Amino acid sequence: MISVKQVSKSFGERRVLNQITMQVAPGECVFVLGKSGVGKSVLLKLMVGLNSPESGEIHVAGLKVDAENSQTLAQIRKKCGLVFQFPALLDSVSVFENISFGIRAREISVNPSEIEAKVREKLSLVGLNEKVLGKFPTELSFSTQKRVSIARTLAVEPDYLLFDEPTTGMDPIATTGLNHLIKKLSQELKVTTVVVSHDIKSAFAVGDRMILLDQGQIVFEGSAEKFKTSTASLAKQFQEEMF
Amino acid sequence: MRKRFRLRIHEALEQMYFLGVQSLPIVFISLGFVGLMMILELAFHMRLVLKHDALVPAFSAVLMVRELGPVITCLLLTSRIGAGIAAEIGTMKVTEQLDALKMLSIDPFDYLVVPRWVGSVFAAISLTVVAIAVSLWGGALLAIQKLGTSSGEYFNTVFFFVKFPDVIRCLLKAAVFGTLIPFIASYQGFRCGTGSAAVGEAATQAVVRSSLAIIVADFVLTYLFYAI
Repeated sequence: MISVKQVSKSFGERRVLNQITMQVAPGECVFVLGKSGVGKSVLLKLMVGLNSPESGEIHVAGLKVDAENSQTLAQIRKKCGLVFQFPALLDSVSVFENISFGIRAREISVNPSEIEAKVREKLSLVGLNEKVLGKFPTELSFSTQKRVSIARTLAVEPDYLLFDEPTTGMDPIATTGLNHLIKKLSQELKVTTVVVSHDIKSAFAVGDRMILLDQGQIVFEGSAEKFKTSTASLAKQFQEEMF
Repeated sequence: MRKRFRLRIHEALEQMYFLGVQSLPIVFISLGFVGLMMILELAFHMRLVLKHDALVPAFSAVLMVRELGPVITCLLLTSRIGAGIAAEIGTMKVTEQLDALKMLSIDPFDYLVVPRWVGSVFAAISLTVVAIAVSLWGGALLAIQKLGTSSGEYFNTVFFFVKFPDVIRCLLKAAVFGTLIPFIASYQGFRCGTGSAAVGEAATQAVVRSSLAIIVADFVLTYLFYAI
């Protein structure tokens, strides 16, 4: 479970998140929606200790996220996988090394043939073949880099998957494929998933629940059906986008 | 508090090659000419003041081993690698690669700083040795041509005046400077702001601050080695 209690965060004078409280149940897939710059990505980074909240608490799998406590933070990060908005691939090493890094670092496997099998498996999960294995990130298109970055995150077999704008820059076919993958991971493997996005169509296709952020606060929280009938002004704008 | 760090052998070897071997040409050319220039300058001043130039090889060798060898080599190394390290780490920060490393349970310090530290210390020490050798050979050629000294006479004087502790202190200085460069450059990279301008600023600051640190550290070490 991910539990966010009364969390606030500011950058300079600007308060991005204001007393946010939310929970994500095990195996649940939650979409956090909102306009650009509303603090969605910040919320994800707070969940894994890449940023620290000004006030409030976040617990992941019963462990308190505390940037000062490196041991607990390491434990939390071992359970989590974060797909960044931009691919964030290490550009000095090949695709194979990018994906296998986490497997080695987390000692999921030490056998080279097992590692290679895992890398190929995750690559095929995101619709890529072995031709890209020896390539460097700069030789790939943005969309392919993004898929490699998802494969890298899946390779460490996280219990909690956090996606930051996963469909940005992806073509419609790849977007549909990714939505299926998120749904499959959530339903079959019971991976707890938080997706930060402004892609309302993906949210309707995949999300069990939606949270709508506006001006640092949650203005809607509930199922897709409930979202359709929400009277919140931002929810209405998103509805117009969808229908 | 940090208790230990992990050395990644493969990355360290890569950095030793990149920072050390690839810096050879610039050090070779620069220090060769510094050696030539010192012979000319010292000969001019010694003739002017002392009315003879017999001690020019000795003075140039002592100056090279005690000061100019490690200092000029590491200043050249700073301009070649300091900006590169800061820009690379700064870009990794801007593009969230550092956060990605953390999420993969890889410590950015272990992965980025330690191999560069090992590579830089190796480069500073080995390039300083090469630099001194090149400048002495260059100086010898010019001294034979211009001062009429024989090669035997030149190297006898050099080895008479340059003592073994001088060499050890020279290598210690190189090791200290070789440590300062990657740490200052990495620090600039890690604290880089957002955007390409911030990366450029981090690279500039890395070179400026590393160069200043080398010059200040040289004074402190010289004082500790020779003035106390």
